[in-house]
Amino acid sequence: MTDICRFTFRYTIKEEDFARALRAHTRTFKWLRAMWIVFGAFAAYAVLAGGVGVGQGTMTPNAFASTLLVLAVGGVLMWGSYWFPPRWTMRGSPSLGVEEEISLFDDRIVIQSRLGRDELLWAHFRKADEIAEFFLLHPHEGNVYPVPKQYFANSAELDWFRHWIRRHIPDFHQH
Amino acid sequence: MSDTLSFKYTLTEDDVVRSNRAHAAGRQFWVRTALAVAVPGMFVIGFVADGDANRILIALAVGAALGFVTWFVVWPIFWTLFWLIFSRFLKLLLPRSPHIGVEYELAASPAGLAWNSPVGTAEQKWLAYTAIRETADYFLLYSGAALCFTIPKRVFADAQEAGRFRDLLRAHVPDFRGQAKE
Repeated sequence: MTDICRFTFRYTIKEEDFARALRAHTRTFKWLRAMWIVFGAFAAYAVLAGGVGVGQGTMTPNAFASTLLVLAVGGVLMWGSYWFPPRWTMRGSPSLGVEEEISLFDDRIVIQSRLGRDELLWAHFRKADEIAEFFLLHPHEGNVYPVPKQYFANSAELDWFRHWIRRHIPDFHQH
Repeated sequence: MSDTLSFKYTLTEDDVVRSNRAHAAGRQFWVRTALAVAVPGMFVIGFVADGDANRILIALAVGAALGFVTWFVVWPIFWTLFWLIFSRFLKLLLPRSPHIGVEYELAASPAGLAWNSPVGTAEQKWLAYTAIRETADYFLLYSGAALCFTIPKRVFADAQEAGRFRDLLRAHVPDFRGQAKE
């Protein structure tokens, strides 16, 4: 391990920050998009077929209303499964509201706070995304380290961090 | 006797799937209850909406039976099938995880837990953990609602060593619950 620290900055993650970052992370899942497309196509077919059925008298209005109710419940459940779990994930976590310090070294990233210290080699991260308010560093599909942009002092620092991430994590996407 | 317990272990795909299942099992109660209320509730509403309000007692009785069947029959079948499918999905993702198949060195002491692995090191004070759940084969460590770490019990040389580790967890993490089902 080399001991020349290239960059250090501090940030404090809040529950809302983490929830927003995790939702953005979830939006990058292709399988989730595919699920919404399948659900949307099924809902459109059910509404059209039901509407035609009621018009032709082959379906009762109550049956059509029940179909709409089931679709609405399904839609709310799907939306809720995307919206709420990111907030629940960090609920009660001692890490929330604790100041963390990130230090970048040539071979590793060090994250420390009053709760502890992680030293992770760059090889630990498989993928990174940049979204409007965060850099998202992914060790794998199911995990994310959100780095809020609001704590960078200026755009030059932001550019430097972006360049550094791109250099160490080849699979880097800006959204 | 040293205050520090040290172990080496390698997490497998099966460890991650089983510990996630145990984690989810501890959180299924409200979904199961909501379903056992919603299914009969929709049946009763549909029954009344069709103009059979005078047979409300029959509707309520059938609704109660539906709730019972949902709780005791439908949900366990759904849960088993869901995990059969979801565990395959997880196993598709897991080979890309840097945590699978690498050897961890874990040291547990009154100061906290320290990990060393080929992907990095971590030192966490006990303050970072809010709850522990123990299953037949794992210790699950939580930080808030999130499952942070899984420690397989096979890493311990014997029951006495596992007992020392359990005592350490109990002494430093207030919310310790044993023997959750997987």
